[in-house]
Amino acid sequence: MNSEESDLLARLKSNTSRDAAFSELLALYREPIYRHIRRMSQSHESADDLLQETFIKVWRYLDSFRGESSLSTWIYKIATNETLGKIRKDKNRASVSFEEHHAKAGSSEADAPEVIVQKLGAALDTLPEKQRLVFNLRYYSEMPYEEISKITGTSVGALKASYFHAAKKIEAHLTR
Amino acid sequence: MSNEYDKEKAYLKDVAPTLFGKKVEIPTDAPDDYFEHLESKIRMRIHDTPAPLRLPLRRNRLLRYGVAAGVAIVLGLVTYFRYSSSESASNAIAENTPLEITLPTDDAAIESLELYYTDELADEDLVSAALLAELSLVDIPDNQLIDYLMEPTELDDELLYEQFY
Repeated sequence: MNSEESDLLARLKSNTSRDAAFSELLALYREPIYRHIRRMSQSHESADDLLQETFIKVWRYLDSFRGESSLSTWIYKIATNETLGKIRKDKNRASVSFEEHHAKAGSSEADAPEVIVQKLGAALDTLPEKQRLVFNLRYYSEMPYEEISKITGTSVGALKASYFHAAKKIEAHLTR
Repeated sequence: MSNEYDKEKAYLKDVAPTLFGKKVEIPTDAPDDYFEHLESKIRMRIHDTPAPLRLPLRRNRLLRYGVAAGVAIVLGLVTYFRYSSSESASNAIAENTPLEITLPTDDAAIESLELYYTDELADEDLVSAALLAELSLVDIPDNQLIDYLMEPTELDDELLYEQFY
């Protein structure tokens, strides 16, 4: 944990400065965590609910956070668990695909940016949830493997292999 | 981003040029003013949701000791009744059934008693070992076992003879 995070954590654990520190925490992490959740859950409504749940849990369990990982890793882990929990719960109901959440691409050209985005979304839909999570954390959040390992509980070697395979699968979809 | 990430990206550009040539962003835009109102929504929910019930540390510890003691007492009682019932059952069996030991007579039976590695033992030792192995399969009270082993046998007589005569 870097010194800024340590300082923030110390203020979060103190009763006198907790409120102000929590506002600071929200300002720092709300957008990256929202995007992380949104990439997994697709709709804004789900992402909004999950984001709120994440920070409520952060607030509630601050005292039991031991600082063994960084604060950001801990928050990502809570967000990930909440999101995967909801995805699994929703699996029983009809799941909504990327295309149903996002407008169909206007262009008919195969390599138009909007078409690529559409295809990428569809490709991500086909990945197993954990592989998709690893892909998002590495490709979009550019997170080091060691941090991803703490979030997912998977070894660095397995993560690298998963990411490589995900990249190949997605590329195959994009170039169809 | 780190050197490691850039190196990986350069490698993956060959494997997946469309994906790694230029980053493909999927839409993750939030509605206008969403983040401005987020904190107040979260604080309202924190305020409305009751905190999980937590026992004070001292009571929590006493509770744990109490549970541990209860479990220990139950286990102790179970063990006592089980032992006393098996002891009375085996006493009943021992009283009614004369103690009979049959020694294995074939190689396969002796091997099954894991004696195959005792090449250096004399014959009478092998017999004793087999005897003890057989005895261990029978639930015999200790005092009866000791009495049996202390009974003089022909083998004892031979050993005494060798020693003193």
